[in-house]
Amino acid sequence: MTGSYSIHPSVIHTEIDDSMVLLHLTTKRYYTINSTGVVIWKSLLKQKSVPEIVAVLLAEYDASEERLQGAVISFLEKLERAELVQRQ
Amino acid sequence: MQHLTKLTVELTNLCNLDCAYCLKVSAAQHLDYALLLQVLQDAKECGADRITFTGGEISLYPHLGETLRLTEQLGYQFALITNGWHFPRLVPHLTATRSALHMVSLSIDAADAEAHDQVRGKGSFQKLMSAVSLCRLQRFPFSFQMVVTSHNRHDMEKVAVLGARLGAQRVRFSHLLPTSMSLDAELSLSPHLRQAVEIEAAQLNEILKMEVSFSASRYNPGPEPPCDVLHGSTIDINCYGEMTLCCQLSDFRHAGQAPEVAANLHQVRFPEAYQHFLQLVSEQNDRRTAALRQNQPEAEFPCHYCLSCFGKTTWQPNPNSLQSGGSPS
Repeated sequence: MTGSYSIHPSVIHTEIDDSMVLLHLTTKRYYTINSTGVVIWKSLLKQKSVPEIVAVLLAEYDASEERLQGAVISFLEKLERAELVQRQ
Repeated sequence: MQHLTKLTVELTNLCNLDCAYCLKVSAAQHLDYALLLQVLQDAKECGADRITFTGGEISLYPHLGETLRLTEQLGYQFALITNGWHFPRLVPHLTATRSALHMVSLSIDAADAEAHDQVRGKGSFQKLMSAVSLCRLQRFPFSFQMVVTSHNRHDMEKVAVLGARLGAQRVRFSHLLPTSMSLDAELSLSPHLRQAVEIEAAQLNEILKMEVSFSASRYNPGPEPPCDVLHGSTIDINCYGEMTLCCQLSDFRHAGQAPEVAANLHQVRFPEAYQHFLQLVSEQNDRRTAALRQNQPEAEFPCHYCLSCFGKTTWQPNPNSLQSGGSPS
């Protein structure tokens, strides 16, 4: 998995405490993401690729690379289905 | 018999934005906090149980947290008006006083970033939408309020639908109150168009499940008092510690004298100031009733009429103006 994603231009993110609320201005839908999601989202803001995001999480979480990669891909696919991110 | 129910409190006239049509332009002034404490206690004893906090931008008031906590302790329900720029710093205060929070009113000028930011500056729409997101996340009731001008009147439906889809409790429109001849010429709607946009708001209210309404600035040819202020039930406390007739008249941009001031609360006790206020109310109601009897069309738009009477729109000749030597009563 070497793909990368970009944040949809119509999405506004607002961080509060250790979570984040996402508002899609086209669909007018809100989403909240937890602290791990926030790490991934901030990595997307820095235009990191999937392997780079996994590397960021590896440095923070005590889990295997395979497991983290699966979680990242699963999360990004959910974001993509909600049109919060776009595959590049 | 008038009965005080609500205060409008201008916590500060300081604002981080510089909207062309804003009513305020004076040097920065925060409301004296010690005076505010006394006012909140006195007003409560006089029967008030609701407060709307305005500015300026309320998030810039240095004693906001304490003010909201005291408001809750005294048993008030409160609403506040904000442009949303600094909303994250408001969240802890609003969370702590949630039981007293009635409404967060967010100022909006258009349903898209380009048009909104043209009025409020780059990045304003994104800040506003972030504030909306936080309201939604924290379950704070929120509403939009929009001043309708010749530039944005075609955006009313978009703003109302945006509010409805984002979960707002209400979208309230109001007419522009002009602060200069040039702004009046550029942004004000004619009386005919004002009524047209009011009809549009009423139609949107029928269509949407969310309340869409127009402020007391709307067309009202009836002789009865057209707003809570002229009913004597809502008073304004401005950032100088003065009790005034209305927050929209107070500290009006480029205005000279201030005949709308009932009393300076640094010098006059609240109950006495309220009696002066009621006298102003009575005089303005008599003035407006007489103007309506004389078929003066400007009296049919109450806020515009008050502006004119209290000398805020001096480029518009008005025989009723208190500033021009006309006969006010």
